Amino acid sequence: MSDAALSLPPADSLFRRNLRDFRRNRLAMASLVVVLVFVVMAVAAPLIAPQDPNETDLFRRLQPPGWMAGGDWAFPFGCDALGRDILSRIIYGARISIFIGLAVIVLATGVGIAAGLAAGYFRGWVDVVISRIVDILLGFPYLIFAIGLMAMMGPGLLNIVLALAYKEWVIPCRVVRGETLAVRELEYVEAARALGAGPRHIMGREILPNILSPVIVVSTIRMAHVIILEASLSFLGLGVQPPTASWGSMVSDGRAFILEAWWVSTFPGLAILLLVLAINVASQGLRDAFDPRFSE
Amino acid sequence: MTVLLEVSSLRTEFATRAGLVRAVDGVSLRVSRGECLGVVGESGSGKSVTFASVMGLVRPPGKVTGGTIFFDGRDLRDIAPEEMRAIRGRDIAMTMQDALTALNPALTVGEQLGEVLVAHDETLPAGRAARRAAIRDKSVEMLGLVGIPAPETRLRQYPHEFSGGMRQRIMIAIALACRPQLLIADEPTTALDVTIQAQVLELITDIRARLGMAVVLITHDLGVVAEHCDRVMVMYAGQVVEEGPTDQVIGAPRHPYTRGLLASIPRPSLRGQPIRPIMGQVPDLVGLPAQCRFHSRCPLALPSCLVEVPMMAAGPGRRARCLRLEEVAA
Amino acid sequence: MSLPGFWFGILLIMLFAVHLQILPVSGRIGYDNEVAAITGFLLIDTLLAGDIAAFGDTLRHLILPAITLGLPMTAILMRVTRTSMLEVLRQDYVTFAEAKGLPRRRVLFRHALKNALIPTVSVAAIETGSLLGGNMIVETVFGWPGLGRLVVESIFLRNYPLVQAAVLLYAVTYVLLNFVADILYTVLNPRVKL
Repeated sequence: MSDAALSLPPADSLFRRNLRDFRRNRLAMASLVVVLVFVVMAVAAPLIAPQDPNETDLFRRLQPPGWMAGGDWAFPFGCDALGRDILSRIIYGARISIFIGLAVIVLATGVGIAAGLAAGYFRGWVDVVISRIVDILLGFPYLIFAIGLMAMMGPGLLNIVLALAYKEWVIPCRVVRGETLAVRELEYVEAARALGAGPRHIMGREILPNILSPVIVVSTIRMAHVIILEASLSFLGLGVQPPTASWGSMVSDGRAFILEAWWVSTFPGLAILLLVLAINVASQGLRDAFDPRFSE
Repeated sequence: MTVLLEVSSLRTEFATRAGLVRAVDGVSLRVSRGECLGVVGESGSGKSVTFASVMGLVRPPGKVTGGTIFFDGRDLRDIAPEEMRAIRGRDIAMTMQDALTALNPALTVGEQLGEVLVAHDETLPAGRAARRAAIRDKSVEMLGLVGIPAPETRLRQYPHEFSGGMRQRIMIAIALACRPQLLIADEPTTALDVTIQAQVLELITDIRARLGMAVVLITHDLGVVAEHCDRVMVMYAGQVVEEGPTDQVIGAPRHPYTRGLLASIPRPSLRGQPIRPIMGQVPDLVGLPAQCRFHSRCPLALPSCLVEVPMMAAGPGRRARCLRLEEVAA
Repeated sequence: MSLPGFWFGILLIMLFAVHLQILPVSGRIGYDNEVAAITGFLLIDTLLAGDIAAFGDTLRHLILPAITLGLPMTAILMRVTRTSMLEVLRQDYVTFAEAKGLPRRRVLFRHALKNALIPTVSVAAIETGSLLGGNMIVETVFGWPGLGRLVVESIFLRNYPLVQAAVLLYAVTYVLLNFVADILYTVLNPRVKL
């Protein structure tokens, strides 16, 4: 242990070694592939989707999946109550889930890093103000907070992103603040200060690169949560408005027909499960490789 | 004096990513009843792992892979885990380097002291109330023995409410609660202030005399050994390199490593002269060749030293692992 | 933990209520078992009415919603406890407890678990928030006339004062639950004083 600490390898090779650790983790790599498949699906939805996701046809109402009696392989996962193709709607729904997940995480991580760095580096009243805001936001249950905001702002894609990001930034902020507090006293930061570097240089160039890996790990884990939250909002009817396809609202649509048409809510739910599970497993692999403090 | 603990050719290995680390490699030692043995060596020399092996407390990936550990006539490697548990704390007790981490922060001192009695003391009365009272009385007595004032109220407090020296005393009280025959004190003073170090060592020596128990004092401070131990054993890179009566070993070392350790202690009598540290580093314990391990740092090393060196007699009651032991004494 | 709660609830309904038909689909009590409302708590009311069949029916209606709401939290707490237990077992005081020759059960449960539960309690307190939010989902899925569903329906009716009041009520409940967790925390961790 002490030998390893004495001859610390340069940052670049540490990064590469971590990357190699990650690549060796087969389960995590497989999950990463699943995530990428979903991303490709979302980006290329118009090219991949076999049908128009919003085309209704009451003759196809609650048509079963392709392999069941009365099914048609042109609509492999069957049709919903308005006769829309479920597979195509899942493919288009991936756009919503992934877009909202990414947008919320990028926004929240950006804000969280800035606020966390400021709180941890300047301390004093800056820290007090930011930490109080964080505490207050933590005082609200997440979904309820988002529902309250959605009720105020009204539905819409941008509003969902905002409603979730309003609270989500707290999480990277706390991580960054804690790490900054620990790192700001280390010798190399002292050295930079002694050389006359300003706070912006120290925060951006000296501290940030050294605390980035836990932040990235936390952000990827949180992305899975955000996707579930968006689906929950859509399920409650507070998310993306119809007829736009979203996995949460698709599950909700099918709820009325669970007696006669199980496929309507089963497949979109499976899609959520698969994507969220893949993100979770991949991000845990990332954590084990890049932030060994937390690995078990 | 009769032999209490006799360890022969003990080998303890750790399976690491880099390979098999032989942390303890063929260590043999003997502790007589009532005796104090000092064990000296730098970090990583295997002194702590040796005695963790004796206690049966080596954690995976570590494993005792060879040798015998005879305690009071029984081989501790052969007995059932449940018997070993009964010996730990009752016959062989241990104190750790830092009482702050060795005491459980979530339990009162009284509970941590009392539970040893519950586990081992067969003289406790049967009735619930009488039992509780007996445990209390014994706990108070133990805290008194290690010099903690107002033991009755102190029993209800948590470790964080004590000072560092007090915590060390409490840990010693816990270790001694069942009057063990052997106390293994692992670096009992390293975590303490200098003034308190002396007090704690006095306490151990004093109680040893009173209870007639044997003590193994693991330390890297030869000064402590000189003052408190009858015999001393010097370890280097998982092996014993020298052992013998303390005054003789310190007065006339028979191994260059012991000599180096002595030369690197600052002494008032040698004022003005530079301290001579031992150059170089402890070798990596992975895949060591069968040759003298101190070779690369040894001022007396010869090409002929590149062979496996056994422990050799070096006078009455003394042994050293050096081909040139006659020439060592400086 | 990757399972969206609303979908999990629907799966449970499909399996146990629709497919196996051993549990009711939704609601709090069957129509044929309704009893006079005294406290409003059906479990208590049915007992007061001396109607054991109705009591059993109410209980059966509770099973699926309870699992839907509780199981994800169980999974989270299990993982937190496992992680912190692994961490605690590496601590010196566990080694010292073993060196004292204590029975293994005591080392594990009294020495290790008491310390390992500290993060579990913190996480449990934070997770009660998702439990409250989960209520809205579960009430919607299982058709329970609760506060959660009232909020969701009020949003559609644009009854915003009610939504605001309910959100505040939820927040207060959350704070209270966290207060209870803080008290529990001091029991486990003597270094913390209220």
